[in-house]
Amino acid sequence: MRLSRPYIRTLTALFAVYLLFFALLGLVLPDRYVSSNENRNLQQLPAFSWERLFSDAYTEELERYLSDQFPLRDGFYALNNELSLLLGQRDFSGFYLGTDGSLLQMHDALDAKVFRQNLAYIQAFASAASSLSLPVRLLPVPGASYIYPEKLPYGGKEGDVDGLFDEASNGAFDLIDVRQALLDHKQEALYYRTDHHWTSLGAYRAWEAYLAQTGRQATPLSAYREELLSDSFQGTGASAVGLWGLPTDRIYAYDCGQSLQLELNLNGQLHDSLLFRDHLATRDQYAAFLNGNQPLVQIRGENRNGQHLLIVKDSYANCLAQFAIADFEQVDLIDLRSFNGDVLQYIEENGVTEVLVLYGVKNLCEDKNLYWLGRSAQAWAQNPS
Amino acid sequence: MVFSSVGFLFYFLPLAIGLHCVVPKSWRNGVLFVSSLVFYAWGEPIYVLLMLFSTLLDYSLGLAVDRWRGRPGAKWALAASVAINLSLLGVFKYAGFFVSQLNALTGLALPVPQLSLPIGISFYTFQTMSYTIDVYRDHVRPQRNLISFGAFVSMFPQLIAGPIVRYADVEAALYQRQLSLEGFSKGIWRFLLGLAKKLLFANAIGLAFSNIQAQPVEGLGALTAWLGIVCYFFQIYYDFSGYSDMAIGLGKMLGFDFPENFRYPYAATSVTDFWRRWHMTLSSWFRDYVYIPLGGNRRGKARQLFNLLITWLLTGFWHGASWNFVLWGLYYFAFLALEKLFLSKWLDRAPKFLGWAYTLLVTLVGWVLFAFESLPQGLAYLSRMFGAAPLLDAGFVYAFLSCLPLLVLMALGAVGLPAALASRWSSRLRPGAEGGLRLLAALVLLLLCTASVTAGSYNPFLYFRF
Repeated sequence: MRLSRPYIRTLTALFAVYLLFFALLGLVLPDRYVSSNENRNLQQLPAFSWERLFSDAYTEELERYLSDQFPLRDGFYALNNELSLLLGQRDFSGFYLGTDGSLLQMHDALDAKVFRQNLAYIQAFASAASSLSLPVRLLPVPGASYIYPEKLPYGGKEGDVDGLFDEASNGAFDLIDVRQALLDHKQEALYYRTDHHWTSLGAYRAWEAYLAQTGRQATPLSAYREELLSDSFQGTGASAVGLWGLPTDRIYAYDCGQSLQLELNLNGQLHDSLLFRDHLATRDQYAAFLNGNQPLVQIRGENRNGQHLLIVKDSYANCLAQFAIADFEQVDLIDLRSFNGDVLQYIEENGVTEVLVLYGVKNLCEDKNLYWLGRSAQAWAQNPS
Repeated sequence: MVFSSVGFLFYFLPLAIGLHCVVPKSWRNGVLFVSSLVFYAWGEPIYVLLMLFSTLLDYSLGLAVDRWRGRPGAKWALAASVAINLSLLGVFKYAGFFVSQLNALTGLALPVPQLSLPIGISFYTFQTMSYTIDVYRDHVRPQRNLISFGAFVSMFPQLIAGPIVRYADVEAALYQRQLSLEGFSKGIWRFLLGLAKKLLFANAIGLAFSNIQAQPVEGLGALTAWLGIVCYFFQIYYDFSGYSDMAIGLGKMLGFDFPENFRYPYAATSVTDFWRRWHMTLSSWFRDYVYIPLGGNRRGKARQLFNLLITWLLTGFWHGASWNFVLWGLYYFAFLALEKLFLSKWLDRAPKFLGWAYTLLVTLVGWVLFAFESLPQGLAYLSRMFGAAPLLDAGFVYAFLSCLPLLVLMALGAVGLPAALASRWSSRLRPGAEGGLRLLAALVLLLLCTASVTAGSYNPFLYFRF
């Protein structure tokens, strides 16, 4: 190999300058505390002690600190994934890169065991609630890949969502099956392209199906005032995939025209809207609905029909509440991941008239907090009031 | 510390190499020794003492061998070095395995030692041991400077994953080495190639393999099982040879010429040929310190086969304290013996392509034994590959398409196509153009490797996932 002088000099300089540039930049740039893309705290400069040095803790944290605080980290993440894309990869951190550019949350490894355990909790809860002659219904939300399988990358395989629905339909509670309702409206934008959630429209179609399957009728969509909240939303899928030039989504809110009162966590402060618009300026714009995931949300509208709905839920329900309150006098939402109370006791004390358990299918196969429903039923059996 | 980390690439490397360049020549070994200790202690703050012990031991025993040359003392010193080095390995690498085998055999319930394996111990004990042997054989002069000897043992470029550098390889350079910009730039290029092999190729294809490995073996279709082991086949080559490239490149930056460790092993046309191209410093170590001392091929066919058997039992066992590695060694012994007996003659007469295909098949199956530490699991996997499974399963098409471009590139690289093309084109290019292209490639590799290193810590799973 003949090497010319200029090449030798330039390569050596390039290497040295490149390494030193990023090393110094890393030292000079102020440390960041939070990565909004990952929604986590970044490692800060660890405190030194001899003890921690000998136990490896110090060097491990220092290593994490250096990579967490690396200059242009988000950009390098995108570069890394662009290369992987070029080399054939078609899913990133749990999201498929759809054929139309949308990002579909993978439902390929659904844990049927956790799902069955959760059904058992709901079942126990439903039978305890039947002593209060309170209907308990389960509404599993299928992922976008179920409604739009044609968008999956070629060969992309998904778990057996239909099998899970079959199992759930054998329970001693009513299954609200929204699969067909969503499929019937699939030409509407029912899911975000860059987020795992359904859109407000998706939630409406499910709400409509819920009331229809329980012999009622939902307020027609035309009765709501539609408002464009954001046209720059990039959700969890965008963060996970992290590629350049990803699409953005529009978030719409629907206003039923009633004057509303919303209270979070019994803190005494009443809001007159379901929307918390501060979040629209952050990465997590979906949190504009009900201020993200709160342990307990209580919404009262102008209806005086005596109907009081409790939704035990994950985040899919956050954008469904805007439709539920149009048809009920009161709608409460409990998030078992952070709610501390006993659900049956809450129901009794607050005069709830029906319960809807609403979770994403994937969460039903992962979330272990439905345990608290089973626990509540158990306490009820021992000490019925 | 690992090469593919922000701390090593952006802080340790410029500091250690920069310091080594600017200090007076007589300090260079000192700088190398101290920086290597820091490098090692970074991940192994306690076990660094073990390495220092090994250093001190063979430093003294080497001197003792020299001093008592021709007298019984030399033999004793040599025996002490071999015994103590092997005991170190025995305790820290194999004790848990031996005790649990003993328990299983006798029904005893002796407590199984839970020592974590000190990084690089398999490499540095072999290096120090062979040093004392070489002094005994009068192949090298003993090193009288403890710091220089320490620099040899702990030398950070090759400390963790080889190549196994023998004292004779670096003896001259330890006394006197010329640093030149030309050597330095060659080292940079080699290091970057190795880094890219590890980060951009080995890690990516490794993910594909671990996805398949994580699935229950009973559900694997035959094609998926084959795909998995093909991924592993490339992962282990790019990973290991990438590490060797990085070590050799770093060595060049420090003024050393380490021995080559890989020579396109997957282009081999026989198993014998494969082992002349794969992990060359290990196979030559076993040849020179086990096979030949046992008598090699000089005492008749039967004895040669026995020597081969011992050598390959040990080679297998060196790779890890588990039965699958022993079996893996025996597996290669079988093919090497067959080739020595008659297969080589057949292969010589057959078309080259046939020998190549046979060697690939043997290596692929060999990697199954290597990849699964649990023998039953490895055998179950093999049975999926060879007929005990339907051809297709639900995941194959997706998994295959997702790594196809990567596999094609890796296959072309593994048989040396890029190097061949580069040398062909470089004669046609204008003198300046090749340098320019290389510079551009170096910058792109630097950027992509940085992206890969930092992406490793990226965890978008945690993002408001509810």
